[in-house]
Amino acid sequence: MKATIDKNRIIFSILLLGFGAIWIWVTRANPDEVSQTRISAPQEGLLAPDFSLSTLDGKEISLVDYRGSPVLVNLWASWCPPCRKEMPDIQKAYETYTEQGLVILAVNATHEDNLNSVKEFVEKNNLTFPIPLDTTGEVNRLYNLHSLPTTYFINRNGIIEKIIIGGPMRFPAIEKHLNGMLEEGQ
Amino acid sequence: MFPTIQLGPLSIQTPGFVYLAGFWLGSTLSEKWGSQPSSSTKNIYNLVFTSFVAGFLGARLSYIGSTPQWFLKNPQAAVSLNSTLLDPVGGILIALLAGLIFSHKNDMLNRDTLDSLTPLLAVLNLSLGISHLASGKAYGSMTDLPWGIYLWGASRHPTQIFEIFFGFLGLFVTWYMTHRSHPESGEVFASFLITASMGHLITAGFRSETSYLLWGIRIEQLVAYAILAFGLWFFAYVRGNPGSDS
Repeated sequence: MKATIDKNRIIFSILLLGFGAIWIWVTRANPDEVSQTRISAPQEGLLAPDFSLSTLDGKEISLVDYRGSPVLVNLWASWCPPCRKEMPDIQKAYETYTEQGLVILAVNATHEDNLNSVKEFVEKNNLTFPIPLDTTGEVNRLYNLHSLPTTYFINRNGIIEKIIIGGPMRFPAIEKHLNGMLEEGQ
Repeated sequence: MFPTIQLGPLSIQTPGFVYLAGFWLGSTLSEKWGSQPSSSTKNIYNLVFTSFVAGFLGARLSYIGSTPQWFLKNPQAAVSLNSTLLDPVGGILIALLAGLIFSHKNDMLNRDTLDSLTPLLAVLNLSLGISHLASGKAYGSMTDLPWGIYLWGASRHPTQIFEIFFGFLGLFVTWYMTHRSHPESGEVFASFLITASMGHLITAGFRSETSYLLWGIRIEQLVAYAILAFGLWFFAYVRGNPGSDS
């Protein structure tokens, strides 16, 4: 009786391992196919949705114009305490890595912010990267924003590598997520 | 998708909340489903708590170790509750080490301890699927099949639902094995390993974004396959060597 149970168990184990091996082979991915069928959506591994906005200093920018450079898109508002707290660290990352091609777009949720407060905050903290103004809430909707701040690390191919919801995000964390993206294509 | 839960001005990260709730529920089930005397149950609770605290502290210490200069300039950040300043891999390794040391000191390095911890592992495994559903991560590849769900701009395999299904299956198997009369010591753990690894192996086959090895073989599936093989071997070992090995 025990011998029969042992035999059945061995057969069951072999069948399970055999099925597993076949399944791994059958469901293997085609990396080229995956990269060709990328669509844009605000999720890691997908193309970052494009947007065009005016910046605080009156320039017109589009995300797609920065294809080829690693981009950090930070969605923020001047009334949001963690957003305010992480801005000096984002500025430090900009100063440290701008020569390596890093682009920072700190998209302000202007539709729910006060433009004078935004200007005052930017001047007080000596922020030198572009501040696109989302006056209609278009980017918030496009990026399915749930919480401020939210930061997207976008690689040279326009793919979202990492999303950080909430904050404040400190310099070592920013640096850690940027490192891989800056090395790519160098 | 609900990556955050908004409570007035407070924004709670849903995945983190799900893991914490899972940890609490899993610990409770580990106490309730265990067939051990109350002194052992207390030891299990202490083991889980010690590993959790060591893991959290270890995750921060590991992070500090990777960028010590910045923390020397900003020492207050070392004690902040900022979750972006944690190293998960370092935390898990230190939690495992602390758990091993605690088990060794309290004479708990045995199969009964693994069985007692299995309900916690099963609930955490289920929490993984729920957290993926909440955040929209670990999404499936595109499909035209009728059960595809519209997510991130396309109809996709509902991999997060599959994960949750296998999570419940793992929990059911754990419940069934713990409530059987006279299970062999180690059987509960081995059964869970087999069910959970099989679930991950199947689900990962439908994933869109994973890491690949040669020929497009997914790393996650290979890890699951290795765990499945170990689980089957461990089950056979337990049956061949009944009784606790403490």
